[in-house]
Amino acid sequence: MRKGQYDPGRLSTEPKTLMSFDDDNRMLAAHTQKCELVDEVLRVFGTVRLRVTGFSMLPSVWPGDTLIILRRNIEGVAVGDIVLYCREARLFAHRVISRADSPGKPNIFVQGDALPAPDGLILWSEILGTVSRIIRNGRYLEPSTRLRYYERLIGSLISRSQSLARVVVFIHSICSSARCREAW
Amino acid sequence: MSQNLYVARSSAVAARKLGGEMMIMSGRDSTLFTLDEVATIIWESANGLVTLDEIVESRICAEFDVDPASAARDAKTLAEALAQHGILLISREPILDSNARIGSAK
Amino acid sequence: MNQLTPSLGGNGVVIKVGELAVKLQTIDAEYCQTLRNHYDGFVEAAEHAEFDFNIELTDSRTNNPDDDVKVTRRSTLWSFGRGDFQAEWNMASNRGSIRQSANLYSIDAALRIFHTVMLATRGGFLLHAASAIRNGKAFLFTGPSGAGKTTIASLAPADATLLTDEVSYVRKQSEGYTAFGTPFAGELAKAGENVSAPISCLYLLTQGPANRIEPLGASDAVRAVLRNILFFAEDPELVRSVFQSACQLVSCVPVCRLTFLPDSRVWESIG
Repeated sequence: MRKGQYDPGRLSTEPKTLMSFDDDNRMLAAHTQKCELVDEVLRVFGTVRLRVTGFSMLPSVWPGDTLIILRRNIEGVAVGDIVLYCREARLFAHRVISRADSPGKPNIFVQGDALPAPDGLILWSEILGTVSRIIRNGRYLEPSTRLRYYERLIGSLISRSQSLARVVVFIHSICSSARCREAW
Repeated sequence: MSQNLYVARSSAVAARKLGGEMMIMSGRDSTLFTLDEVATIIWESANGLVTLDEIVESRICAEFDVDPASAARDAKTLAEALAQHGILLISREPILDSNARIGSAK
Repeated sequence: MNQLTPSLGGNGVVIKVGELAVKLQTIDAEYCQTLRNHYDGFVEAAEHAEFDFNIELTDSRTNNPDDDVKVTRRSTLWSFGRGDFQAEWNMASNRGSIRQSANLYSIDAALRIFHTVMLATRGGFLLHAASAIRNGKAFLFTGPSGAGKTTIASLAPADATLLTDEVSYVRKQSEGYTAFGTPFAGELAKAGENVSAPISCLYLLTQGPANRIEPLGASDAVRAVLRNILFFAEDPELVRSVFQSACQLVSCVPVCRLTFLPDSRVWESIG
């Protein structure tokens, strides 16, 4: 009998092949976070995690925080909630400061805690979801719905100066690293 | 030549041969394994009552153009890799219960 | 919560997807009507169903720090949940309960998870894919986020019935596999209908400079299917069952790589 060509037996592996909730989130982290991808993940899985890079929600949300977003339509959104919305292909997570409901057409006003002015009217179709948890240094925090006086003060100061924002974030990251080291 | 190593397929997996490749899914963590032709022969022959040497001699060397020493070495390497992933059991004694798992279960 | 809340009766709605009927009961008549409206098209007139869930409505804020989906089984008792809901279900009695606030996204997720588990025991699965029926045959389009599922669904011609642009429902039937419409998905799928058809072909999507269809080998096809099967349960037996279903599907249904330009010409070679 003619013998076949020999190749040493090989094994290839693909870990965790079946799709669970986390998989699309990891794919999103690896690619640019486009609005359409986030929207799709929210529609399929009802939840998505996004990493914060900006300063606009200081001191409630810090760069490096991970936000857990739950899909919501506008009926489920209350004043004080932090909502995720998409505008001009960019994602924003800002706080609802008021609602203006015209018949059949609810609309909301949002503003970053560290921004001097509201973002403008948000249409119901732009809302992707609300922030249900903030993950910071491995801890799950519930987002506050009302700012305390000192938080409003910090936000107001930061809104006047980008440099101050950077300094505040730098100090916060040092303190966070120290806390992490203590925890270990 | 080498020690007598008995090999048996783990029952904690599901396997199916498709288009000449053996596809195996671990029930524990849905890891997907793909075995090529030679690896598939070793897997399919691993019934717990034959040794690796016997599989190499009766199947690999009989069907492929390879010297027995190389084939045996490759087979042992492959078997150890499969065992590390928990999809193959290796023992110096015949294996009668393929529900046994290597290492501690979680 | 270790004990299952017994059925409180009152208000119930039976939702049937893919020939699996689930009765949702709640004492809140308003929420029951909300469910009836939300799942319109999939609501059965029946009083009883094979599966029975009691919905216990709570306040909006939950204190659960772990927001990952978790689906586990201990003996005949299934437990599944996320930060916004928690459900238990007894396989022996086919009865369960769901604890959530009065919103639609929690019950949607709970039902979807429930169906993934039930389907796995019956040779089916949910697939991250768009599906449409044309000329009495179902076509599925799968691929990772961004591959073009929503795009190809939105390009479907008028004679195609869109089942979903997100989550396809696949069940083994006598001769082959059938795709069913579901109420689970986003805005595009509001147009989805409660219809079904035998699956004629499964396409793995890639966007590219031309419209091209290439058959996939069996092992590549199984890999493509497995990577897009939605399954959350940490149950080895069911994982193995889902794997066998994927292999079975690939042996009955052709799987092709579909490279396409994002315009309606792609549908000329489908159906």
